[in-house]
Amino acid sequence: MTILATPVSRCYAMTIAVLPVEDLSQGDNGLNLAITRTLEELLADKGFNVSSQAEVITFMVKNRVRRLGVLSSPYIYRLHTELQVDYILLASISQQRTAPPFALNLNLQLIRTKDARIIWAKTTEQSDVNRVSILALSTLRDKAEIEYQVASDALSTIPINTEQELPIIPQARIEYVQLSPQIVKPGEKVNCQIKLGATTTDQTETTVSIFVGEQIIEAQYDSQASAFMASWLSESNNKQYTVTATVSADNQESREVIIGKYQVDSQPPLLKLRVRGQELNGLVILQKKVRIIPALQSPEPISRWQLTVHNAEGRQLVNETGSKTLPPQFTWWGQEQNGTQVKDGIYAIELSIWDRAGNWASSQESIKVFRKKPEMTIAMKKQPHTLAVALNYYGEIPLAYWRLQVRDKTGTILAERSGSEESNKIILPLKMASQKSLKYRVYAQDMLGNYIQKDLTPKTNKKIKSNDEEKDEDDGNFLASVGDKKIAGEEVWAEDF
Amino acid sequence: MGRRFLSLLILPIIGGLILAGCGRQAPHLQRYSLNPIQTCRVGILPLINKTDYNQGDKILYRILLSQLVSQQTWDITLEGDVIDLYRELHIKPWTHPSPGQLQIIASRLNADILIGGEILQMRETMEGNYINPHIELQLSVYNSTTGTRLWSTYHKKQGTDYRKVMHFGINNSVSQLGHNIIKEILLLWKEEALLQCQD
Repeated sequence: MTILATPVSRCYAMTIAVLPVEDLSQGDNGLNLAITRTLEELLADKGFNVSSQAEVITFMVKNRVRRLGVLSSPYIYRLHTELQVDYILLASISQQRTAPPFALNLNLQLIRTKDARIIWAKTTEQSDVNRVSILALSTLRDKAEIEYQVASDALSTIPINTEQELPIIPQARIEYVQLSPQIVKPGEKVNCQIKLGATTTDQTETTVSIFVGEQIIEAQYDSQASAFMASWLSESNNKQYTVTATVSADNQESREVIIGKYQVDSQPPLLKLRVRGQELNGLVILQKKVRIIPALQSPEPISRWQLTVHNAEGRQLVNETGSKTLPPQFTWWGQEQNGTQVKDGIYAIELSIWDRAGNWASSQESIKVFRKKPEMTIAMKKQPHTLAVALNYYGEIPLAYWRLQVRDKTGTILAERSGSEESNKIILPLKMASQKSLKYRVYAQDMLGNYIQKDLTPKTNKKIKSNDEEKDEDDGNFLASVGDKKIAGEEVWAEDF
Repeated sequence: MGRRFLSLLILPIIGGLILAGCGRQAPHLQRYSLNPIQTCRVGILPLINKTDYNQGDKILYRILLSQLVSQQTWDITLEGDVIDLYRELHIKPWTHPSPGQLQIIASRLNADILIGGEILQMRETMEGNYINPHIELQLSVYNSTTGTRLWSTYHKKQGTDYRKVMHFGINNSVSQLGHNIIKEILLLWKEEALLQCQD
């Protein structure tokens, strides 16, 4: 009776740990403890010595295993040494549909802990649609029943002992590598840190050799960091270098492994700055804004950039910086860093960039800030049937065109004249019944698009006031002015603007 | 009477054959290299999920892994090791690694080839009283020494493609359909002698 009561698991004495089942149907890191327990029971029935969930959870907490359904080699080796398990079972529910038609998909992986090798895997699907038979005899309607059925089907082919079929190959495994920087200037220092896996027995007696270009570097073991450290000076040729390493230890396989790559770069980026705006005499003019477009002749990632604007005296007015991504264009609104508008004059815009190796490139362009409005005087003499007009332009920028309109009190245009050059003698025919209520409108625009527009009313024997303080109707910063003028004559009047 | 009975019997059979014929799309293989590669250890890269189906990448990843392992020909790398390498090399799981990164991954995993892929379509639609899943998948195989693509296979299927009679045979979950799609892709690779491990 005693023999019959002995658990079957004692027969094989193969220890297995079932990690909590990941339930992908519940989203990221979903957990299904019910199927975990079912798998444990079924494995125990098959004769495995199953580690308790409490032990497994304690191990996961201690080693900060935060993901379910996957486990990397270092943790698998630790499971072997800490819990003395021969195998671990990783399981995940790919899909679980609880509403009809019910479906359950279970994926299992059996991993041998001595060499962290997947030795068996199986995916099992079950759906009540496929189970429906003619007389509904084998239909599964109960969720727990389907879960049990799927787990049972999945474990039906699990191997009991695989060591003879798949031999264990111990490997000196590189667990973690940190190679920095990834891009260097010639002759700069490159650092490498290598951590080996737990299978390497004594790391102080282990040799880690690093090969790069013509150099062979022996990494030194740092007991505080529990890692092998090495550093060397980068080569002088501009190209990408592959870094390989070998690990040599007693009874351990030594294999050359690519651990990283780095680029030697001594070439500064080829930068050209283009300033977009209206040009005059070869200089871009800023009225409201200018667009600054950086162009790299050989596009490459950059680490940081700096845009500065200096005035003619060399004072820095703007300083903008950024990292990683160079904006496709900048816009300068003719303002200092604090927001105040800069005065008219010549300004230097400079863009500096640094590539990932720290190579510096710069490009500079000059622009002219010019916001002054056109200045002109107009003198008119009204005669019985005509109006004589004289226009005098004083602007620094050439005149593009002017237009003069005569309107009656309702706003109807009675006469109009336009031109592109200043004129001292413009005769407009006037055939109106009443000429007392006429209004005159003058519009003038320079080559940059700066313009003035003025509605005039004839004044008689009156000193024309300076309009320094007058505001432009459109943008509110009308600054044009000419000194006071006095026009003699009963029907002659003049205005400066 | 007899002729009418015969026609009633034959028509559904012809219809069934037509339906069955429509569903037999084969995976499309594109080779980029004709040189055979000794493949004994295989690394599987995280699949790029270009669909809205939550966890679709993990579902097909594990199905692919279990099918490769179950053929007992190859040694398959651990999913956890691949994820750790992605993290170490700062590769986002939804992006393709560069050839240089693929070389490092393959060398560190000691893999002869790397399999990666993209899920282009993955969804389940309710059609009548059954669920019809759709999957469109592209798997690519990369050379471990150069990081270049050796071949890639495109396959597209839906659950009703496996219909035998009435609703029987229909794949009614993406997992089940994914299982069949990957099985067909691996069968094609086997027929074309693409994955071979000769000790």
